[in-house]
Amino acid sequence: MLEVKDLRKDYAGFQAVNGISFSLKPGDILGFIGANGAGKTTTIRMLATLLEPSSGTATIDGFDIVKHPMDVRQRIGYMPDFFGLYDDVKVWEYLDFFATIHQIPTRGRPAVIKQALELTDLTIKRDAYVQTLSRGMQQRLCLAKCLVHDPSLLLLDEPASGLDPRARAELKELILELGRMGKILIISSHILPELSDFCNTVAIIERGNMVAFGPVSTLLQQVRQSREIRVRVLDRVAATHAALDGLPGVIESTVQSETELRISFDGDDHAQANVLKTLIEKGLPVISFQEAEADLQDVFLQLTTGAVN
Amino acid sequence: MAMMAWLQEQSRCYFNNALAKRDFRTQLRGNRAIWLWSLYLSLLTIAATSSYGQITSGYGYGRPMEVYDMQQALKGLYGTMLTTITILITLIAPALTASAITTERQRRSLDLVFSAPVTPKYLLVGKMLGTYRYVWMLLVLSLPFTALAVVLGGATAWDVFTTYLSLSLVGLIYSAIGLLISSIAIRTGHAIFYSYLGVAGYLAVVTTALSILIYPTLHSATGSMRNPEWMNALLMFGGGLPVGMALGETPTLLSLVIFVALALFIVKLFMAGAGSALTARAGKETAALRIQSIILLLLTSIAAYIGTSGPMGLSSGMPVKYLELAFSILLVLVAFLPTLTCFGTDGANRSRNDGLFRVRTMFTGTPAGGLPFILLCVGIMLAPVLWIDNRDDVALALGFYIIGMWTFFWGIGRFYSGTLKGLLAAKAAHFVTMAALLVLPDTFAVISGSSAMENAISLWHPLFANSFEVSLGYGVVLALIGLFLALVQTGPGTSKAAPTVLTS
Repeated sequence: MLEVKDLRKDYAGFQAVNGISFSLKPGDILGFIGANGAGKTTTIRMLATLLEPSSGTATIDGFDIVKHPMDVRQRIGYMPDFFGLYDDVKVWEYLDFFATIHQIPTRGRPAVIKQALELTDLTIKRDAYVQTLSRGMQQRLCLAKCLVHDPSLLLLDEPASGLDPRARAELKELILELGRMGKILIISSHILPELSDFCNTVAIIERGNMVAFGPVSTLLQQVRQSREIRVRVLDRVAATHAALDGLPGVIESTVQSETELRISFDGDDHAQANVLKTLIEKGLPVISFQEAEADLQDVFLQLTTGAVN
Repeated sequence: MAMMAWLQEQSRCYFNNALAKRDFRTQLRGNRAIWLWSLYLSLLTIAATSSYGQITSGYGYGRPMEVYDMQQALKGLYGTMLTTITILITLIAPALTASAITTERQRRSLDLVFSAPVTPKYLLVGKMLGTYRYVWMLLVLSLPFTALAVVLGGATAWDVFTTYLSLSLVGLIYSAIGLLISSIAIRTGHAIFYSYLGVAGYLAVVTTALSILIYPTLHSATGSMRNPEWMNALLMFGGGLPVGMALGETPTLLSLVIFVALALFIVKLFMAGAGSALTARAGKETAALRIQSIILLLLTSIAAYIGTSGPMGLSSGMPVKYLELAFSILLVLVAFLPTLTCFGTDGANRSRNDGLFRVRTMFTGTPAGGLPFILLCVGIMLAPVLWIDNRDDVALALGFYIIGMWTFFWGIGRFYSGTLKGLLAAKAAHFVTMAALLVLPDTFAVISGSSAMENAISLWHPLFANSFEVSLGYGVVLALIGLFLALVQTGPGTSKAAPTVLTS
């Protein structure tokens, strides 16, 4: 369980993080979204006990990040936005190093390393030097080192940056698996469409202030007061436009091209079905009738102003 | 239970240190170590052969070498080898540790380490073990050369043992200096450069202190030793050569024990400094550093008192000799005063003004504890004359004068902290101002053709005023100016919250 209460970090002349509060339970995967300099990394570094908060606090499984940093460190896995890898050691040596500093008994280390390698699909690279790994593998190794001590909270700062599509897909699967294992994950990223694939909770931060927090679906609903429906027809777009006028739920319709219209709609699913039925009954040649889904990018752009610290 | 936990922690730190193991693995991997050792052995071989050739060529002059000549030659060879090894250790040891933390910092792996349950002590001990083991390897590799001198009769086994003990501890001190610099520096190149400067500074301070403390009373008028035996142990700090080399005689077990204890204490002090530099907030690492500094100062004051209580010192009636020495030793504070005094913010480095004078925070590293700590340092150095020899009004007044001077310097730091933007700017301005104030009066005296020492021209010389009233007056005036400077810009400090000192 992670509870963050009024966490604040002041630097000379500005507030990097301005009193943010939230709580997460096991299995929550939080997408931490914000522009560069919004305060994401500062927040993550405070949770990782690498920065002392100016005020406020956070507790991880009941341990305060300021009062009990050593207990907190036993319960977190921190993956920074850079590798910071020791490239002159072998993969198993790298994991053995982190298992040792996390005080895992000597006898238990081989098993722990084996598990971490299997989970991150690096078993085949066990005896390879870190410097010979691809970027995606190095990223997975960094994640593997976060897992050797079985933490309850994983702090992943820009984990997908610089990865190719395949590596991203693998990372996504891994994150989902970790969520299923009951771990809390906080993931900061700029790649918003991907975040929505595996995050069940989102926090948007701007200039150190938390402007939105909650489940992805709730935020999308809050942002989209009206739904948008895209209609494609073979022809007779003007007739289709005229037919939409006055239908229940239709706020307005706009012609996009000779074969496409957009409907701003605030009715329920029944009203939406009724619109389609009406168009068909009038013999209009409808090819597709599809609700345009809002995504995290829309939410982010709507809730933030683009201001940075 | 607590004892067991402590033992487990020590075992983890010293015998199962992951950082030491990792460094050891990488040090011995590849051909680099082999090439370095080959180079090292080649240098020793060249030194040995050329030295032996030179030494033996100087003897005989056509006649066969006597046994005595041969022994002298072998002693010369032994001395040359030790000097060569000492120079190499002096060059290698600080460079090895100077890169230890900066490499981690440049690789940005420090965050990964400190997000695990790792204390600064664990990190520093691990780094020290990793590099110091390398230094020991160099010493072991040189053993055949010195053993040769033993076999041929140039030195005894005890000589070799004491020499290597001495060299290994001096190597440890140099490594600790490198580690301290590495904890502060950002780049490896800077760290190595400043580590050499640090070692040079250490040797300069130690040599000066030894020359003041020991050599003047090394021999009495009759030529016999006057120093207590334990004091001779201090000679080993003068560059690594054992007492036998410096005095022409073999060190005793007692002097060795004292040397080992003092050397380990100095190493601990440097390590505490490194820990304080690495720690995320004012805390136990800084407290350990300050407490150990006080202990070292106390030992220094006792040694200085004994060293100056001979014919040229306190027995002359006025403890001026000691006061002058104490004054010189206290000048080392100039280097640390900006850190003790200044506050401000530079990025993540933050030090809040938590008040003017708080004895409670004397050891925790906050600005309010700066003046109490400075006064404690000054007080410890003045204690012998203020308390033990408190029979001379002039000495007492000089003591007040020195206290006033340091309060004045402290006030300058507080003034800059309130005036300038940024912690670094305040520290730099404070240091430069203090250095200028200390140097300028003597410089003017030299330029104007008068001798500052003879005429007591320098404001900062303890003999500037030679009467009770004048000394006391200057002391009080300086202290008042310092307090005024401190108050005029910064006020008494208003922060009620727990003050924070952060270092990245």
